[in-house]
Amino acid sequence: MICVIVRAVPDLVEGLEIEERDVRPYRYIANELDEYAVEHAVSLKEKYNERVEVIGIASEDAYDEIDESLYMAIAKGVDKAYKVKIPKTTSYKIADALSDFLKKFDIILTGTLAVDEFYGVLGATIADKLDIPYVGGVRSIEIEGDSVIVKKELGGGAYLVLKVKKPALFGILSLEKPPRYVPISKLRSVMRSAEIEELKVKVEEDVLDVRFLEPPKPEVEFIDGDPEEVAEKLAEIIRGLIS
Amino acid sequence: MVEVLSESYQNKFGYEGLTRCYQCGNCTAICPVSDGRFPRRLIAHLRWGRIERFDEVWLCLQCKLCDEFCPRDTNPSLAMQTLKRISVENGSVPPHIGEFLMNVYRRRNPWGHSRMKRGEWMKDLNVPTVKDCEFDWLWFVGCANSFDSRVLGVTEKIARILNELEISYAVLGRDEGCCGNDVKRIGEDGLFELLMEENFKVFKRYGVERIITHSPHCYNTFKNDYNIEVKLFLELLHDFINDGSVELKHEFKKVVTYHDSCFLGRYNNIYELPREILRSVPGLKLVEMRSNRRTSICCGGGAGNIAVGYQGKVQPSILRVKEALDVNADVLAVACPFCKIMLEEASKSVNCNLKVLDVVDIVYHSMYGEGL
Amino acid sequence: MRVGVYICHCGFNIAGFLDIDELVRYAESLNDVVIVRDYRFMCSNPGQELIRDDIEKLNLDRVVVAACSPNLHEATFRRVLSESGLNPFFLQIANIREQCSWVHSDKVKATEKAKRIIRSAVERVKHHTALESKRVNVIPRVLVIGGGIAGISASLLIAEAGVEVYLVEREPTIGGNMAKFDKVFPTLDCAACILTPKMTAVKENPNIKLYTNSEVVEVRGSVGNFKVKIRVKPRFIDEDACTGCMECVDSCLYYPTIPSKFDEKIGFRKPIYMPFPQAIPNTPIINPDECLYFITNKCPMYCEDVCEADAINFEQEERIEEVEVGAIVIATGYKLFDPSEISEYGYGRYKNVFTALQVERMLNSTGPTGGRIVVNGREPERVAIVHCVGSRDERYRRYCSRVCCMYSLKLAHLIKERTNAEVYNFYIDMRAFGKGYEEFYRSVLEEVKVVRGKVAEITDIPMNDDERREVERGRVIVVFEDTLLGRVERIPFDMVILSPAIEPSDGTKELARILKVSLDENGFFREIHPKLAPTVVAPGIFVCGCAQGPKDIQDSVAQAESAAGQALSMINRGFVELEPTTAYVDEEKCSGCGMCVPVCPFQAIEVVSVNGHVRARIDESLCMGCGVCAASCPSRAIRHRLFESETIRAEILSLL
Repeated sequence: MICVIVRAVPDLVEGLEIEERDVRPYRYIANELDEYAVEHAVSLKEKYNERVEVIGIASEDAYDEIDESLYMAIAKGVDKAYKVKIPKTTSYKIADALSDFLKKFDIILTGTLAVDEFYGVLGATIADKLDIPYVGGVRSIEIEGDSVIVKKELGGGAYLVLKVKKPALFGILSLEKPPRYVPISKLRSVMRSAEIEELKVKVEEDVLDVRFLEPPKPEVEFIDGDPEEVAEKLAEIIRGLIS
Repeated sequence: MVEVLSESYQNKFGYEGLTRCYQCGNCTAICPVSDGRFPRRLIAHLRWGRIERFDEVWLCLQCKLCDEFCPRDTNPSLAMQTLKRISVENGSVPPHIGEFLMNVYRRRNPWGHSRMKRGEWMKDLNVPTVKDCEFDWLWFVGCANSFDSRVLGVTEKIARILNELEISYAVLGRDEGCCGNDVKRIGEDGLFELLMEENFKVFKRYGVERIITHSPHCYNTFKNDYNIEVKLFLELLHDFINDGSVELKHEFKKVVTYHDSCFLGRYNNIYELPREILRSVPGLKLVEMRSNRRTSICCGGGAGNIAVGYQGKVQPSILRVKEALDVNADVLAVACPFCKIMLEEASKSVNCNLKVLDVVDIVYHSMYGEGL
Repeated sequence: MRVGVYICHCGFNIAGFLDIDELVRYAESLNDVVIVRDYRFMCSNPGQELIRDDIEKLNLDRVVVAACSPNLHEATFRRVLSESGLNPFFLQIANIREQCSWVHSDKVKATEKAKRIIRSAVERVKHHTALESKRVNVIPRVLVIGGGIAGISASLLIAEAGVEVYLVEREPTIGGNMAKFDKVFPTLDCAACILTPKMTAVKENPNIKLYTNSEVVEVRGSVGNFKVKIRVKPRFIDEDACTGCMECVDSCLYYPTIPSKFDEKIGFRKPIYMPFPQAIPNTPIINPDECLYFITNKCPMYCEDVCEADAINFEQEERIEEVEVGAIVIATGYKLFDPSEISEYGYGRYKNVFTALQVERMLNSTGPTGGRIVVNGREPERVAIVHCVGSRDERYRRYCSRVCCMYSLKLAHLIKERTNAEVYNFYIDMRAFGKGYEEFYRSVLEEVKVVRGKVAEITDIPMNDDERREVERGRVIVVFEDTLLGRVERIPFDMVILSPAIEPSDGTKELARILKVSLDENGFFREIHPKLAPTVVAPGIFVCGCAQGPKDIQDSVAQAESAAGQALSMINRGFVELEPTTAYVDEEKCSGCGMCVPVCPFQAIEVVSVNGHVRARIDESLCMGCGVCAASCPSRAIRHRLFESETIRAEILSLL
C-alpha cells in the first residue's frame, strides 16, 4: 500500500504579505513536488495495481485550500484521500504527529522539498521516526518483489540506482514524463461525489525540537548614488580589499 | 495506439458533418501546418471510429481555413475539435497544452501570472472599475491585454481613447477572469463551462449587460458561446471616426498590410471593418497579402498555443511575415493581441524591418501624433 | 352501402411493419364494410381478380384499397372497377405505405395510424358520386423548345412520323452545346460529323417549322390544346433569300473584336456573324446592339452592297407568332457553372485557367485557334484537368454533373494526342458508368496521370525559388493533396482546365413559370416519376436532355426520342381523357363577383352573362382540378367533383 504526503504551501505566484514576524500568503496550493509524488504513486498503481492513499497536511489557513489538490489526486486515480490539520510547525513535530498513521504503508512518497521547507528534512525525519530507509532526490520508482528500485538524481546528469527493502520512504524530485492532465469535468464530478476523510492527530508541543544552526549572515551594504559616485565608492572598497 | 471509439461518439460530441466527407484532400492541401496526415486522414479514421495516433490533432490551430475550402461542409476544424475533446476526456493532452489549461484553471490566464496582478496595468491610469462607478459598458480587457508587456501599450491607448471619448465604461480589474475561448477550441468543455459560469456570476454581481472588448478571442466566445451583447472596440472606433468624434490628424506615411485574425475573420466574418479604419488614416497605403480575408492564415497563437508557443514544424507566423515582406509592407497591422505577440516574435526571428502594429496603435498615432 | 376493403402487404413494405391482422379485424368492424381481404400484392393479377370477384359475387358498390400512393396504382384499380361494371370513381386509395409504414419508427403507433387512414377512406368513399371521364381531341402538332441535340432528335422523330413540329431555338443557330465539341466520348467520333447531318435534316424536313433567334413567351390551355406565342426576334437578314455566301460578314468594316458567345469568349467576331460555318439556318445575323448602322446610323453598309441576294433587311422587326399544339417537348439544355465564383481557382484572373468548353472550342478545327492548343502563345508542356469544379460541392452545386469525368478524360486524351503534353487529371471519384466508358477510362489511363485529390488552390505566388522560376515562365502552381499517397504537392502547370458543373440554362425558371410546371431543388425540370415517367413533366408536357438533369449525349438522345414517343402516342390516339375531377359552378349561388377568374392558373374561368345574370363559367377542358377557385369563392358557388365539402368533411372527421 502506498501513501503520498501532500503539503499545502504558500502560492508564490500570487505573492505574500510580509509582516514583521510573519509571512501571510494570499493563497495556498499543494507543494509542486508533492504533486509529482502523486504522479509517481498513480503510475505505480497502474503498473503494479497497488492501492494508493494520499494525506494532505494543512495549517488552519490552508485547510480548505488543500481540498482541490486532493480531489485532483482522486481524479488521477488515488483510492482514498485524508486530510489533517497541523499548525505551522517544524518537520520533527509533523513527523511525530503522523507516524502512527503512516505505519501501515509499505511505500511512502512525498516531495523532497517544499517551497516553505527548503532543507528537505520532512521525509527523512518521518523515515527516522518510523525506522525505515529514506531516499531523497528520486526521479523514478519501480517495484520488484519486496524491494523498490529507485533512481536518484545526483546532479550533472548522473543518477544513482538503489535497491531498497520495503517499507521505505522516498522524497520525489522530478518526473520522467509530464504530469497527466485531469479534465475539469472529471475533477468537478469527483468534487461532487468523492469524500475526503478528516484525520485528527495530536501535535505534541513539548517534544524536543531539532534546531538548525545557521551560519552568521555576512554584512551587506547598499551603495546609493548615481553611477559615477557608485563606481567611485566601489573602487575605494576594492582597493581596500586588495591592499 | 489504436483507440476504438464507442458508437455514441457522434451523439456525445454533437458532431455530424463527418459522413459528408468524400476525402478530397482539400483541407490537407490548404492547411499551412499540416504534416500531410491531418485533417483528412484523421477524418477518415474518425468516420470509422478508429483513431490511431491522436497526437497530430494538436497541430490544429482551429483557424477554420479548411472549413472555408471544404466542398462538403464537413467542417474539418470541428472534427479536429472533436478529436481534441476525446483526447482531453482521456487525459492525453500534450504538455504545452496541459500547461496552458492548468494555468487557465489555476490562474485564469494562459501564462500562469498572478490573478492578483490582473489589474496592475491600470495602476497609473485613470480607469474606472465596476466597483466605483455606474457604467453602460463593461470593458473586458482580456488576458493578453492585461498581462503581456508586448500588448500592454495597446491596452493603455484604448483606455486613453475611451476616457477622451467619454464612454461610460468600467473594467473588472482583479475580478476579471478568462473568457475561455481558446479553452473551448481545445475541447476542454468542462473548464470552459466552469469559466463561463464564473464569468456570468461576476457579470451578474456587477450588473453587466453589455461588453466591449478588443480581443477577437473574447469577442467570439461572448458573441457565439455566451450569447451576450458584445461590441468590438474597433467597431466603436469606426463609428467615432465616421461621425467625426475621432479626428485622424496626423499622417502615417507607411505601406501597411492587414492580417485577418481567425476570430474576427472566419469566425465572425469581420473583414472590412479594420480595413476601413486603416483606409481613413491619412498617408497610409493599404496593400493586401497573398492570403487575405477568408483565406488568411493563422498567426499560430490559437487553441492554447499562445502560452508556450506553437510546437509544429511549420511556424505559420513566419509564413505570414514573409507574405507581408513579399508585398513590401513596412507595417503588418493586426487587430488581435495574440496575433501581435506571435507576429512580432516572428518578425524578430526572421530579422527584418517589418513592424507589427495593432490597428489601435496606428489610429492612436494618427489621433495624437505620438505613441509609436 | 356495401364497401369492400382490400389491404395490400406490398411484400415486406407494409406487412413487415404494420400488423395486417389487426388492420383486417379493425376494418371488418367499420360500418357498411362487407368484406375485408388482405393479399401479398394487391396490384398483381390475382390481387385484382379478388376485387373483381367480390364486386360480382358480393355486389359491392364501393371499394377501398389500402396500399401505396394513389400516384402509383389508382389508375390500375379504377380500371378493375370499370371492368367489373362499377363506376371507376367509387374507389378510394388509403395510402398506408408512403404515408405510414415507410415513414414511422413505432410499429404499434403506425398501425393505429393506418387504421385511421383506412377508416377515413371508407367514410370518404361512401360520399363518392359517379363521374364520367371527358375526352378532348389532341391537336396533332408538337412544340419543341430548344434546338440542341435533344431538341433536334425529338423534332426529327416526330416529324418523320408525319406530325408537324414547331422547333423554337433562342440562339441564331440550332446545334446547341454539342456543336461546340470536336470529338465525343467514348468513341471519339467527330461531333460535327454526327451532328450536322441531323441539323440539315431539320432544315430540310417539311414537317419542321424552325424558329431560331426566338423565344416562347406565353402558353395557354392544357393537354391536347396549347396556345403558344413565340417571339421571333429580327435577324436583319432574310433567311429564305440568303445563300450563306458570307460576303456580308467579310465586307463589314468592323474588326472582329467582340467576344463570341459560341466560342466561349476565347474567339472574336464582328457585329454581323455566323456562329460557326455549319450553322442552321446557314444565314448570318446582325446584332443591333453592336452594329454601327443601328448605333450611329453612320455606316457605309458594305454588307448591303455586296449581298447579291438582297437578303439584308435593316427594317426587319420583332414579331409574335401564335401556334396551337397538342403537346410540348422541353429540351432547353444546360449552361456551365461560372467557375470564377470559386476564387481560389483564379478563373478569369490567370491566363492559364480555362473552362472545359473553352478547350472544346480550341480543339475544334473551326474554332478560334483552328484546333491548336495554345496558352500564352505556345503549346503547353504540362496540363492539369480539374474534375468536379462546383459539382458535388455544398458551397456551389450539390449534385454530380455526371459527364465531367468522361469529358475530362476525353480532353486529356485529345490534348495528349495534339501536344504530347504531360496531362494530369485531378478527380475525387471516377464515374465511368456507361457502355464502353470503363474501357475508355482504361485506355486513357495509359497516356495520362490521374491523381485522386481535389485541387485546393491555383496560384501564381511562389513558395520558393524553384517555383518563382516556374511562375516567371508563365506557369501557375496547382496545390493539392494526392490522397492515395497522403502527400501535399505543389506542381507548376502551363494550362489548367476546369470541368465545371452543369446547370440549367438561363431562362429555365421563366419557362417553368410560362408552362406552369415545377423545377426540382437544383433548378432542373421535375419529372412526375423518376423511374416510371422520367420524361413527363405534366399532362402533355415532356422533357428531355439536360433540361431534366445533367446527362451525356447518349442519354439525351434516348430521352429525346422517349419524349417524342410520348407526344406521338398521344397524337396517334387522337384524344386525351380528362380527369372528371374538375370544378363546376352552382349557378344558383354564383354572384358573378369574378374573384375566381384571376386565381385560376390555367385561365379556365371567365365571367359570362347567363339569362341576363353575370355568372362564372369554367371551361372544363382547361380545368386541371387544382381547387384554387373553389377555395377562393366567397359564396361557395364553385364546387369540386370528388372533393365536395361533405366528402372532405367526412374524411377529416373520421381521421380525428
